[in-house]
Amino acid sequence: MANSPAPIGGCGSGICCGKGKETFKAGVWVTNPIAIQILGICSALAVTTTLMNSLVMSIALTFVCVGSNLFVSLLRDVTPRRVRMIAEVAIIATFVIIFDLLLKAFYFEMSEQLGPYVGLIITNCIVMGRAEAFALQNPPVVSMLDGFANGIGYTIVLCSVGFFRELLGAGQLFGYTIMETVANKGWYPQNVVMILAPGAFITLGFLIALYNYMSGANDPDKETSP
Amino acid sequence: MKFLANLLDKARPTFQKGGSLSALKPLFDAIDAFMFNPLTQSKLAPHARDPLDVKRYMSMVIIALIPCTMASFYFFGWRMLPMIMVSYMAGGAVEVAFAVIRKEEINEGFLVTGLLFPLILPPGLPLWMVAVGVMFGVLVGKEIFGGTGRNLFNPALVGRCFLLLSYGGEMGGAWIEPGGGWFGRLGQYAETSVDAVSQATPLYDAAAEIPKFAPLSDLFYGNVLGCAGETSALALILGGVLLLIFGVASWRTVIPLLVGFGVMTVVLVGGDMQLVVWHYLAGGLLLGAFFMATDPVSSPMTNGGKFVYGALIGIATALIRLKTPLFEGMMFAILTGNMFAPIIDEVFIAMHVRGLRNEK
Amino acid sequence: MKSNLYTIVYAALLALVCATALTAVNALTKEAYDDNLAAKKDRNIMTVLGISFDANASAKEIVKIREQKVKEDTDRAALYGARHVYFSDHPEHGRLWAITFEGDGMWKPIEGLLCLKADLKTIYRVTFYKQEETPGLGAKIAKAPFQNGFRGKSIYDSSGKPGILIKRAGTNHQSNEIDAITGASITSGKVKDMLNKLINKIAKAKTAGKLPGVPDGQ
Repeated sequence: MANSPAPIGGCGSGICCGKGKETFKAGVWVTNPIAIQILGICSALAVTTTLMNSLVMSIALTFVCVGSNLFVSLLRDVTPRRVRMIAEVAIIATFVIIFDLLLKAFYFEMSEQLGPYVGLIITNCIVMGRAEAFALQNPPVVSMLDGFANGIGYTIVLCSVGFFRELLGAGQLFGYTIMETVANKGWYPQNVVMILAPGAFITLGFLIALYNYMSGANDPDKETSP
Repeated sequence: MKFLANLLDKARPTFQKGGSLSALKPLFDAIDAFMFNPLTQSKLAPHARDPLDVKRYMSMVIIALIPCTMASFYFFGWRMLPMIMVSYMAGGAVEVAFAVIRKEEINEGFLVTGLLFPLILPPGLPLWMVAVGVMFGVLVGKEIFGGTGRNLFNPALVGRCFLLLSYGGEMGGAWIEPGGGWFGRLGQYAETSVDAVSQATPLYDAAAEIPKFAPLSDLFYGNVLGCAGETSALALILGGVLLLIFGVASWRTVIPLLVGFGVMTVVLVGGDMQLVVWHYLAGGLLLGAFFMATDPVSSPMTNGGKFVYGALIGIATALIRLKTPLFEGMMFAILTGNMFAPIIDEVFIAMHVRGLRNEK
Repeated sequence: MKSNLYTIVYAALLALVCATALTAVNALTKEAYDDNLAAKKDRNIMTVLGISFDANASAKEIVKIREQKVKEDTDRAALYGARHVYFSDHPEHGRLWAITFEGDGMWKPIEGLLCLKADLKTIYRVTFYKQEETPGLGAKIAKAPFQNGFRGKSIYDSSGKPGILIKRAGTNHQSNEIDAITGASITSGKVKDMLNKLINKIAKAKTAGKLPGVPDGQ
């Protein structure tokens, strides 16, 4: 779904100035990887059935993004151009597998719930995109910051989706019951569609609409939607 | 009448730009237009040739829906009235809200959706679910695409699909035992908690290979469990023929749909003609074929495209019904058809353009 | 443009570093992971066999308890066409048999364990440890209310024919009839089919009397 070689949407020369504050703002908000660039949608749809899953997935992606950005940036001068993509993939894959192994060993149940999606971060175009678009041209520290900022941007969207899906779909948050469901003799009739895949599409769609409304991205007076 | 016209004329300035209630202008216009002629003509699709404007178009569909609405009152009682009212009010609220935000007039399109929606729901469904469903249908099925005439999917079906996926238990268990005799349930208000039965509909029984096929005559008159408006094949055929005569529903969609369904059913169940007829009468096929698939907005515009679209829906319905665990296929088949409608149009227009070019 | 040799050396070095890092992490975590996997399986087995254990016990402890208390019978597994047959002696119910079964669900395959009492006739418990049915509907098979409906039921009907029935809740139930899940009749039906496939094999094996250790007349 989101695995096409990423046209790094919205990442013009403007945000790649390599200065901390702007880099952070760009990653978290201005060119938010999900809401604006619509990258990494596959995982955003698949794992957001509960808030906890969303959070762990976000941590995984942030970890990978920071780590791979750091190493891609460190190696940027010695990496031959024609094998740079393969080198990036190798670095990303290493971080992803390390995280997956740690999860399997120490948070087994969480790893079972996330299924193959942690492993699939390898193909998540946010990570690849940041490595290509940012870390290749910038020094290590600011690259790490960029990875972190994009991770936070991803986290915000993922956790919002997870929040609504778990609350409406199961009446719970982080596994704690907020609204007692009818099935448990409470009053709240579970909205099953929110747990199913369509619920993820609907929630994400509304969130992106809200985001665009807030940031004025689709303002007809300002024909510059990214 | 004169009095009402004067009243509206007198009130008009209040709702015009600068008036104290100018925000509610769309609501005023809707009342005005419903009672009298609209001041402006609709400019949006369906691209009907004059004198058939959107409003007349919708009125004819409403007239054609009368038989099966009456049948639903007869079989399932007065509970249909609050269902229809809730559907109109909740969906109408979304419609008004968007009209106010967009500063446009309220479109007549909702008149049909608001009536069709309760007819495709189980008659014992809690009223709040009717409200949630119709609001979702209007919001996601129509308004976010730009309102009447721009929707990709049939709003009523979007709402129903949402309810089915969200509250599958209730959607599959809120049937009401149909009434019989001279007055059916006309004297009764079926209480969900008392009268709802979670028995299986005829199509479910067939899918579960329970050898208990409802008799053909019951299916024909509508004396079976099912969605409020779908049970009576007689009423639907009556309304459907009316639509075809008016030219509101295109025979180019309906005929290929029914033929496609029949051919596919024969392929899948064999040559047992009685069973094929049974499948024609069971479930939502006829309601969908006459009133849903023919929706001028979400079906293709080209004549050739309508053939392909109709046949596609018919074949898909039979396939879903007979070869998947979802024993009723009409809703998903039409939504799938809606999805392909623009592409089908594209192909036929391209073919037409090429034909024209070659003529030169 | 850097030379080919440089590229090759670079790639080799990068691969070496990555591979070393992964091997190291893998070596460090492998044991814990394997324990987790085994513990997950053993938890299910012990739950279905009614063996109590500390829910907070570590993976290693779980495996140890299971090895002490539960044995596997491969001959019987072959006879029943099941992947595994486990048994253990319950203080109250005597020998209990837990047999794996699997089959198609509504969307994805379902796997579970059927636990029978010593008479190989009465159901002790049933569990479904792998299922991806519709959440809120079919997925209720993984929940206690549905699974508890199996307890104490017979796998034979009153005339001695093997097979269970899953029927709409509220109707009068025979000893081999279990409450279905409202609104999830397809899942209920599939569960019935996969259980009956196993039950028929158990019944066939029993009448053939192929196994030593099965008391006569049952």
